[in-house]
Amino acid sequence: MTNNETIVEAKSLSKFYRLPKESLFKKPEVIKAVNDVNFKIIKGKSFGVVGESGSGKSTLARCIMGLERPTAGEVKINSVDIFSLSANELRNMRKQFQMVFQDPFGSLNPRKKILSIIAEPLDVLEKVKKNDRRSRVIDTLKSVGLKETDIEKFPHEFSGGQRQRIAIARALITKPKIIVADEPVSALDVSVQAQVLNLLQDLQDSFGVTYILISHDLAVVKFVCDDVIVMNEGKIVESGSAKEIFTNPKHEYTKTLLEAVPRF
Amino acid sequence: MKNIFLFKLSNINSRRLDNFKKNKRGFYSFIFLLLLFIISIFANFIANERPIIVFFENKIYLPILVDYPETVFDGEFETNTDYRDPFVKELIQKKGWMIWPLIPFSHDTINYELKSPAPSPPDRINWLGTDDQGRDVFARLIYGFRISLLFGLILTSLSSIIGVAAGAVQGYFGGVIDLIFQRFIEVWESIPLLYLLIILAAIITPGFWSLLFILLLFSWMSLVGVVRAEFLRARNFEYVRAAKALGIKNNIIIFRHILPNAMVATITFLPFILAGSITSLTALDFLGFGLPPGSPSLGEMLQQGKSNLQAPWLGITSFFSIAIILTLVVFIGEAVRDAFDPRKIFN
Repeated sequence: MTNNETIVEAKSLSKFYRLPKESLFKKPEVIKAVNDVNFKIIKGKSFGVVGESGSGKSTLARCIMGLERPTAGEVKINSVDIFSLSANELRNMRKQFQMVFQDPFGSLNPRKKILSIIAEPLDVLEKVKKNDRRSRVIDTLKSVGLKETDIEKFPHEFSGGQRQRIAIARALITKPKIIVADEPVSALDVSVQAQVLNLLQDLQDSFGVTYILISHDLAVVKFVCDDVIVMNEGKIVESGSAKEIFTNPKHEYTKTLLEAVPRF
Repeated sequence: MKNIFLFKLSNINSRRLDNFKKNKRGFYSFIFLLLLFIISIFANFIANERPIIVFFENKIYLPILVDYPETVFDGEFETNTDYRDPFVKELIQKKGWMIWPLIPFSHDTINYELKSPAPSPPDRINWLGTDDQGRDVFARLIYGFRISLLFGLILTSLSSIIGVAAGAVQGYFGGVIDLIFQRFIEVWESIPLLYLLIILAAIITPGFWSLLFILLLFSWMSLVGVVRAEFLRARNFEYVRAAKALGIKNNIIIFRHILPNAMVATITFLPFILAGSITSLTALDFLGFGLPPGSPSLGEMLQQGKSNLQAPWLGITSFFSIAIILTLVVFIGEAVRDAFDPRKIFN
């Protein structure tokens, strides 16, 4: 983890949404969700994206995941531009980057057992034998602190924190190099948040995963991330190491963000 | 968990089954219709112009399943045996015996020994009388019921398969595909089916399968709306998005994650589509654009009842049989709908 190898790079990335036409003659309004964003992420580090709601954080995450085609710019993962790949090649690339979603109550199909939920990326991205599949699911489940017997249960039998662990296990099972976590703890109780964040850090130590953590919660980002960018209205207003930004913010917006955190 | 026929039911499905059973009217309608359907499948053994078993010279013959020339039974012709012929009956009875079905007429058997001119009223031989060509009404009813229900079931299953697939594609992909498909359906739906059938009937003689195909061309649209709506809703579910982000292929997402959501709406609709299919076949037969002439059908019988008002057994039989089938199907449909309704609780 000492080498400063770039694993993800965004070059002048932009994503504009056009609103539906309101008048016949006026041009429809354009929302610049992500506007000319550049950054580099170093392998094995945690990268935080901070900003208020509507600042384009989630759109950025979806662009990095290749779920949205950007209006302009490129995203390079291991120096391959993911938008130049065909759908099939991109699918094979997905082994290397997976995602954890915000809402652990919505992101797991309520009709499926944990075994098939966690094994799903495995079924699609790798050809595994039935026994291997089961043992890999159990291994991954244990690494996020759940029990072997849990594989026969349904999602509703778990608490929010446990469900988020399951979602993390699902992202981990293909042994990805990058995990994009879009607000991974904001739907959880404060007491559970710390557990999940600790888990994320432990997993980084043992597997060497690179995180891209999207959050509006500054405390979370401060706790986990090495490098941080601050976004406002689609643009990066400040970037740097977490320490620097939280102790010595330079931009006005960052200052107001930091001041907005309630202190007791 | 409950087991039926080796299938393991999940909790929610076993609750639905319980709810369905608790709706007594729907449940008994289902049992009754199922019984009628099973009986009608064996119509050939209930109403036939051939005996079920012939025992002749220490040998067993099965005339319903196999054709035997008359010479087998010491007759003179090498053509198929006409077992209703008194001469043949005598030949067989001399050296053996035969067991007749409950109703010794098939749907196209003409009874030449009527006591009054056709249509003749019900009597001990023709339980529900005969139609205007001297054919037994009860035999025609059994065969007609079978053909109606089979037609309805095949049409319903085919049109729901096509409808679900079309709705799924539209709802899942949305955008331009959805737009084009919806406009196509609007245009297609506005084609008047009846006139089309009248024109087609002038060109081709519709048979069972060609009629099924033509009706299918227009009946698949009934499910598209529901399934499309369900897919439009479900494609934004977090776990569907998650599945996409994990790199799962569209067809797997459709089948594994979204289709189960759409199944409830689909299954709820099925009995009502079945009722609609039976009605449309009956209507076409009534107008004379349906199954080829001579085939047993409820609509054709209804038509005969209309043109022979002096023979009320025709009209009454066909009216009540159609009414009973449709009522049973609708009762079943209501019970299914209630069973799938999570807010409905039966005690």
